[in-house]
Amino acid sequence: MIALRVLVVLILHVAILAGMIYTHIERLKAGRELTMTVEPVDPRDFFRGDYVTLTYAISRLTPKENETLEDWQRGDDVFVTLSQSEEGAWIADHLSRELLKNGDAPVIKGRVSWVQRNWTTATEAWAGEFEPNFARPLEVKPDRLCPGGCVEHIAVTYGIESYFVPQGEGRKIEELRNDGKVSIVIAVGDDGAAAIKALLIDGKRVYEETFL
Amino acid sequence: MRPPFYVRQLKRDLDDWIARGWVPATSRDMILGSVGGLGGRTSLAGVIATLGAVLLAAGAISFVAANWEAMSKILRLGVIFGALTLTYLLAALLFLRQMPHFAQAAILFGIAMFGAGLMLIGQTYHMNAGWPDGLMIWTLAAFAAAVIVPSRTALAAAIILTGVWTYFWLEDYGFARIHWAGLLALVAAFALAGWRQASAEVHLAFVALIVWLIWHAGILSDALGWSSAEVTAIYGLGALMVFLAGRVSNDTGFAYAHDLQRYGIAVTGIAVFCLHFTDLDGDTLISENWLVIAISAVLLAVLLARMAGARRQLLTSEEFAITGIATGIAAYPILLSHMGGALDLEMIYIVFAGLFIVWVIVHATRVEDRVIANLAFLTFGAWVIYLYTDVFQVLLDQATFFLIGGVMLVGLAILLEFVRRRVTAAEGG
Repeated sequence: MIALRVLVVLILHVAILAGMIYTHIERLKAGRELTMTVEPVDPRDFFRGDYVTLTYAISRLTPKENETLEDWQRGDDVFVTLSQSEEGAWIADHLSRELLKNGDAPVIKGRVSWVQRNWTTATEAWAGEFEPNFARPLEVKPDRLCPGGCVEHIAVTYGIESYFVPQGEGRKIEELRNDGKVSIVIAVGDDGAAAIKALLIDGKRVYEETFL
Repeated sequence: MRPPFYVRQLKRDLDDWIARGWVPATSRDMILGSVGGLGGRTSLAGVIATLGAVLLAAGAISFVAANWEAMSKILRLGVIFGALTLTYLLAALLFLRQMPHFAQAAILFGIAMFGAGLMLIGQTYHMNAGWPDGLMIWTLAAFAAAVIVPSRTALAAAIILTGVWTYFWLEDYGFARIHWAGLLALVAAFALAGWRQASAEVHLAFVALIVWLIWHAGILSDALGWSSAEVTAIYGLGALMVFLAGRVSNDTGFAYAHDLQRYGIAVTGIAVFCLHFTDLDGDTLISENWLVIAISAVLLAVLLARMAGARRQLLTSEEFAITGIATGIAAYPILLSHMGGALDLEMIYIVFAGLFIVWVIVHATRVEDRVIANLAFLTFGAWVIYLYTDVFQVLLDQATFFLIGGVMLVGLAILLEFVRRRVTAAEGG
């Protein structure tokens, strides 16, 4: 009986892993293809062992005119509606907390990984910190210190930021990427989830994701 | 579950009574079962096999990771699913061959293989799901194995994975939100471990819960607008209530009443110790609702103490002591907000901490809890040394300082030995 139960666990674990692969492959098949330009990043930061970090124009979102990003917090799920720039690159059009379909515009789901605030205006409150009887500011009120909001930008991750490469090939791809020769084809499902579908160098597909 | 020394002694006595014909042999397991002396036993072979499984898993993952890029995609999938299948088939076979310890080790290896599979599939298909999501799936898979098989090693793995998952989840959210799912998982772990009478896993879950609470102290402080002293005090009061709940249920046959008392009193002690440092962040103002919360918590502690007293699990003097301890902990944030780091508050704290430690020693000696008694003595020694160096060093010249200090330490050692012997004699060991 207990041996039978172990087999049930085996089936469950295999089903979870197989389900992951199936969902991913289905997303690649059915998802809408978007070609994303990869942005160069500081070489000292991006190379971590055997994968290349990919940063896109939609990875760092800054507030537009008459817009504030104050409400976003680290860990929030975010749906980013995309639009194409004049150069043809996909950029963020607007953000929402729910999946909102706006015509044919693709929507990609991400998670806020960092909120960059500018606290420079708060330093005034700390003037005389080392003086006797200094009263420590208890709470910084962003609305008072930064009219219009203190958030300079938010970083968003979409699950398409890592491209695993064979040992030793990372540098080569990174150099090409920093020369602006690398782009990534992603597949975005109806639910906004995205997956890497292909790697392009100089516009040619050098890697295509398949089941096997 | 009764303390291990009691169960050991009972086993020896039972064997003796059975040999004399006083107790029928058929009653042995029933009697031992009633005090938690059956099930949940850990054998040396099991421990070694489990450690072996951990090392094997680390070796297998390292080997695969080192050679991963050289493999084709189909071979990679073959390795992942093949290793998983072979491991669980081996576990099933070991159960059939009546080798449960090795089977449990194989289950643990299977869970490690599942985690490796998660990571390697992510790498193969360039999936970059966040760490917390992957760890959540891994934790749930371990819990599933713990329930279905059932498996103690899987439960231990699930508890450890819950801790790791909580950490990465909190880090992902910048330690700004409460990880309720982690707390829920720990509650499930307690229930499972209690149900299976797996005492080692109960301890593991207690430790994981304490770690969870420590990680959330700052988050609670921000979320509720409480000062560090208030959060520490509420942790201390909560732990005191856990101790009291353990005393109340002491004679009900609840298997973990003894563990509740030990962890409750230990965490109360840690909270009392930490209260001393809660003014370091400069935020000592009490929140508007603290008085209501503090009074409610003290009343609840007093009520629990009364219940324990009514069941003859606490002496009347101990009920008063509990009231004093709860009041002292609850009042500390208020005193801190009014007195700041004044010397008067320092003296009040030292006296309070000293009285608390003395009460723990007296109580632990009365209920013959050697672990808590020794721990309290150790703390008392540290408290005396702290008190002596902090207060008397400035008042005495160097020679007198060392002489008196030496006499005090020798006296303390004699006292400790005296009480140790008394406790040991009372336990009959």
